[in-house]
Amino acid sequence: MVRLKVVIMPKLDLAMDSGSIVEWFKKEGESVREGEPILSIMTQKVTTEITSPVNGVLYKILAGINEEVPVGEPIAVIVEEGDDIEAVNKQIKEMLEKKAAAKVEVKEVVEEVKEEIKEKEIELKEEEERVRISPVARKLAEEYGIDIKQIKGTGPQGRITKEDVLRAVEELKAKKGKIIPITGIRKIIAERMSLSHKIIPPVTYCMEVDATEMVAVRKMFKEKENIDLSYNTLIIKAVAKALLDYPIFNSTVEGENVRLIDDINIGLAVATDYGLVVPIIHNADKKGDIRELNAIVRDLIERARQNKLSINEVTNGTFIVTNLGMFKIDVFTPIIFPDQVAILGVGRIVEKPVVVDGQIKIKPILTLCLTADHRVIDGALAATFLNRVTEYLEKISSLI
Amino acid sequence: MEEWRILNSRSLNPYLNMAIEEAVLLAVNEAKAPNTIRFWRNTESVILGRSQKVEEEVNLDECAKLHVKILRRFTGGGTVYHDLGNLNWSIIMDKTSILYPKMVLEIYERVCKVIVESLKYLGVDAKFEEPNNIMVNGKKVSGSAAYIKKNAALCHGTLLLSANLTNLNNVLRRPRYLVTNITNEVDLGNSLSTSLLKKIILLNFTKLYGIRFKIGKLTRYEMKLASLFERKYRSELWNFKGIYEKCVEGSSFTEALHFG
Repeated sequence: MVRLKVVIMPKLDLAMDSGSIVEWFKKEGESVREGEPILSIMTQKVTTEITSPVNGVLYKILAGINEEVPVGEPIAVIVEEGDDIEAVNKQIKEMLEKKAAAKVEVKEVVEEVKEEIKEKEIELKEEEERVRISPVARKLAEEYGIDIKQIKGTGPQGRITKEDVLRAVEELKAKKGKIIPITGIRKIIAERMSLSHKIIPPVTYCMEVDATEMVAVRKMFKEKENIDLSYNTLIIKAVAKALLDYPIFNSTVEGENVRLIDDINIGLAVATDYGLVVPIIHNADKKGDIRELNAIVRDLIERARQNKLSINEVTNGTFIVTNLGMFKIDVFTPIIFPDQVAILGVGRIVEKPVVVDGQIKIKPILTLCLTADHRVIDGALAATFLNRVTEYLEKISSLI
Repeated sequence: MEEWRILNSRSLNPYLNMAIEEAVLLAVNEAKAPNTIRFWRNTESVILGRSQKVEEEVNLDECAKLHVKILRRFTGGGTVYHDLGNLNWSIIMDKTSILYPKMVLEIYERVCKVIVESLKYLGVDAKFEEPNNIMVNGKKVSGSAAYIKKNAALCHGTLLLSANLTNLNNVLRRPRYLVTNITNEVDLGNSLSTSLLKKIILLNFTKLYGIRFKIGKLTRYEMKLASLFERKYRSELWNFKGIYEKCVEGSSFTEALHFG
């Protein structure tokens, strides 16, 4: 198996989601040396030369001049001496098929998957019908959710009997379970989360917040202005302010360096029917009016649920807030997105007895759970940041 | 403190000047020349971006009538008009420079900031406008382009001081901005000479980025490269179609020129 040497459209800038081909310095079939420029691309008005990753031959050019190519898409294939050309061709074909498939709108993909499932169901039914099985046995198998194709029939002409099904039930008890393939958004989430856990040493820190003022502010807006102020809006407001105070939490690890990112783009994890979606509130720190911020947050959540977000609205996040309060979760340990250094989990607001000046009082309490990348952020710093967020939330009316 | 070279090009020949731009970038990329700031001016000429179509951008009849030369540069972007009332500035730096952008888009902001500050020093209310323009009173006085190689980057731009805007508007088919001269927007009397402006720009580089400067000249290597590249910039095939051939077959420069 040859490992394909593919040149991809690089991400040269946080704001870059595609680049266009300006010029190919090499033709197909020409030899290239490692580090030698093979093409130039243009993104955001800057021309950049792209160099060959290896010594070899520029085997295949996959994007023509002036073609706009999304970040991460293949633009050329280079073969090294001794590579099996047939295998290379096969892999290029597979890759191009994948690329073509990826171009289809997500919606269409969802439709396609649905179609596929439907087709498979029909196929399965047809196949099932071909299986010789007694009606009682079929009913029994359905009841237990057993695939009748997996059952060996002992009746005449291999017909499956009730006894066969019952025996299969016993056998399968140990390894029972429906198989669901991991695809689409689920697959992306799976890959990103695995990557995060592989590279980031996470520590989660939890802190209780007195939510009295948050509750009061929300009530006030409802009564005075008939605005449904989301708790998420208040939390994003407080986090944006705290990120200005502690820029290291708004950074990304690049090899041996940490890059502090100027823009504060806060993502809000939203559960949808399609899976987890994270719309981004760009420059959240610059949204001065809480009503404006609230409108943006509500609109993004709504459109996330309808699967109507544009690519700009889900990219370039720098810090994520994930709220499981509505699902009655108090405490959890969120996983950091791979190119960020921290994530804030938010639990539910629940009334709890707390001791104030030696007296037991009932107060609405919210638990924040901050997971931070220990490569960059030590415990004391994480605690300081979390304290700052807490302070802002407990005095949230001073921020709005 | 970083020390850079100043190149005050005396040539007003657009073909050679463009060739020098490419030569210096190549030399800095190969660590054969120091980080450089260059000031240069061209006689009447229209400079197309790398990927533009000449017939869409340039009024060819006007150019012929006004003796305006037509060239294509190696950097991308829009078409600009040069004459002696326009001061071109170029920054060519290697990857280790303090000014080198961490992300590609930052290059314009970092470099243009110096020009903006310099204009402000003169009392001109200049503003940087993303991605790569400098505006005065809502009109464009400077546009820039950038090219990033493996080890070095170039960012160059125009600065309209007292250019012939009638010619500019006649030869460009579709100017995308309202353009203006700095001297049209602010009454600087006779106080603004290009040499004073250059000095202010250099001072601001030092102030903002701690870069020191020393007057220098082209190295022998850069001169050789430039004379090779000048052929390209004189060729109609390149200027009108964006196509170029190997300059010198089998020459030791061929590799460096990555032609092919």
